Amino acid sequence: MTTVPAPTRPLEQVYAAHPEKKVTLYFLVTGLVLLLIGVAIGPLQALNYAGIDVYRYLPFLKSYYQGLSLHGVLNALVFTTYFISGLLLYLPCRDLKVRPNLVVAWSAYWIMTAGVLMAAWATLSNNATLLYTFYPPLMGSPLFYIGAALLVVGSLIIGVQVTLIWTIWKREHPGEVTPLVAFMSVATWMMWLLASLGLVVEVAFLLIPWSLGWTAGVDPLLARTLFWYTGHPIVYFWVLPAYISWYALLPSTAGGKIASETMARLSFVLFLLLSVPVGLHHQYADTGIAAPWKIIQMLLTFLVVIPSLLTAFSVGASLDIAARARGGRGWIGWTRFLPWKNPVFTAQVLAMISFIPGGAGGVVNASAALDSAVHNTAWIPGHFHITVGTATTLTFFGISFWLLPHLTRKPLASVKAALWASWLWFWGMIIFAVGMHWEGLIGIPRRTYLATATGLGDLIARAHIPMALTGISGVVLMFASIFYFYVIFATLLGKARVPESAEMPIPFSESLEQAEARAAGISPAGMKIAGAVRLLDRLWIFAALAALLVALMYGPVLIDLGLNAHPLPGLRLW
Amino acid sequence: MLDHHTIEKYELGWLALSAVLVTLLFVGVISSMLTQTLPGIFTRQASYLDPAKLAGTPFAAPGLKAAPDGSLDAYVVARAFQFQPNVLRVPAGQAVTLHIVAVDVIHGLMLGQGNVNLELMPGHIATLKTRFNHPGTYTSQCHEYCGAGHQTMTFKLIVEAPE
Repeated sequence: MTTVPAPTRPLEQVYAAHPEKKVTLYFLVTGLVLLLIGVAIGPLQALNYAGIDVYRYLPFLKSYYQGLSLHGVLNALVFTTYFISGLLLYLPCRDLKVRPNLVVAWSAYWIMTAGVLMAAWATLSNNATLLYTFYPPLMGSPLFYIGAALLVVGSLIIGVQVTLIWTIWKREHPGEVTPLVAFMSVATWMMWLLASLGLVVEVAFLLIPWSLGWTAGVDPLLARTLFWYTGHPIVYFWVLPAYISWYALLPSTAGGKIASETMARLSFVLFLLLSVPVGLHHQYADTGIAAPWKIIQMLLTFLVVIPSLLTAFSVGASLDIAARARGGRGWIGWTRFLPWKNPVFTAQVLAMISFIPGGAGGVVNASAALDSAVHNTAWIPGHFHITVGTATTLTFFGISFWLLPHLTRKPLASVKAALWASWLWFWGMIIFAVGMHWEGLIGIPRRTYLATATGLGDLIARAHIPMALTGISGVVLMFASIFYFYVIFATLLGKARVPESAEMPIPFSESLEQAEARAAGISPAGMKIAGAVRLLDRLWIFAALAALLVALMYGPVLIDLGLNAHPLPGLRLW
Repeated sequence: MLDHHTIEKYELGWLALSAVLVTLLFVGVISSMLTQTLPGIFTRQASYLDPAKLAGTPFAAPGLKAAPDGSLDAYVVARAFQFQPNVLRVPAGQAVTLHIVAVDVIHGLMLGQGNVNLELMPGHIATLKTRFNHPGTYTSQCHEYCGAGHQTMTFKLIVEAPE
């Protein structure tokens, strides 16, 4: 008698227990495919900063600026929005044990995708070569602005959905404290709902009517101020999901505990309160905005450093706990006991390490007096490639190494390739950052077609070493992305699925406090909950306070700009 | 292994230290600004000029102008893809008031001397008084993307030693 192999379950049954897995997978994979396009252009930008012009050989890209527009929009805006919308829908719902309304989630996905296709069409046909800041009076195709708006609308639908799911959960669970991952996710979404207002107003009320010819002009300073109203807090929207993973998921991966739940919650409430009214620190050099507002927002920007420093402490402590639980000893020696062979862990820890110089550089940019030396120089892209480009992106890589296997029940195709991708991405970005920060200090401007620039001879003469570093980093990063996308697609296209019982679990972590209670024989329900945790759980109140602070910090500036608007017609200069 | 109360105690200490560091940073930056590291940041007037109507203003014939009392005013116009003038000669050590305006889209200018870094919003005149102390030639370039010729929009500041 021959044994018949057990029939593999039909595809739809993979999602039977949790149909929200499928929409999450779509968000993640669409985001990653679009990232692949953006990342593929990256080495061309890096080579341009090494003085090597590859664009002239590429018939499908009209210019460096078109390539840079695609690179910036796809990587910084599109990939992040998809990935975060999937991740911060799935995690809080699983944490709260609630199934989201799938019609709503799928609508958000398709609205986003329609928007991205429109904007991609405009950019690929060279009708929106505006770079990702799309400052008027440069005017692109209306399709670009409408597409960008739909992308944001998609994310807002998910944001409202998660916030409402949590609000209903709170009503149905009186007296209970929101579990940590759900708490952090809701705080992040509330921050984003408030932060996105600037971009929504800019695009919907200024740029779309203007590009359609319904209005004659747009005030460039008002539009730019609305852009940065969203443009800075959007970086917290990128980094907070990484923090959620570092605080609440990584400890379990590393074999440790969350060092302090109370402090984790406090830092997210601080982010909710302080993240938004800081955008003017991108406009220190702008004529037309009074100095006192810039200085107040500088102070607020500095205050946002505090929750990031708290995160550094907590995450460091939880890794220390993990290493010592595995036998680690000493001041430095303990780090060797961490699970470096696990790419989920390694990618995220390397992301954190990149955020140390990344965050420090951010403090420099936020200091008006120092910013003057680096504003709009190559220093700035150097900075954001080790923040959003590594702290966020490499963390998302690490998350994808467990989340895609979890969602599909297909095992990760190659642990080795995943580790190579992580290390190469990390070192590639570090080399890139060294080169770009250095070029910036020499005075080389950011986002310029340097390989064909005509008059910068004496600056370039002093920048040979950093320019070479930037070029080399582009090649290293190209190899990193080949490894990464090989792992992702080989995993997704793999045939074998593990049985439900062997599914990769979501690494929700236990806090030290919970572990101590368990050791003392106290049930989770019987644990004493700190008053501070109860207070912090009132997120709606903190959201209202954040909105009030934004109104105070931005209201007078925007009203003044609106009343003194000087609308200008659009120009197409590319 | 530490218990969670001890870790929270340390972390509160870290929080206090962070707050102190941030305060020191803020005080440091403000005192630096008060000592004029950013020329004109507190005195920049909000003056607007219709970019279509330069005629009749000093920007119609940009360049360095000396007033009868000897004070120096430099007028610079930024338009795609050229600064006018694109070479500015100033004497070392003398106060110069810069007046710079963009007339089409946003441009930007950083001078390799004097801590001047400006985002030039169309029509909003950047006015600031500064002094260039070190003789030499300082190359820079428009630093806000303004279109296909952005990389050719260069500017030279030549600080001339007194004879």
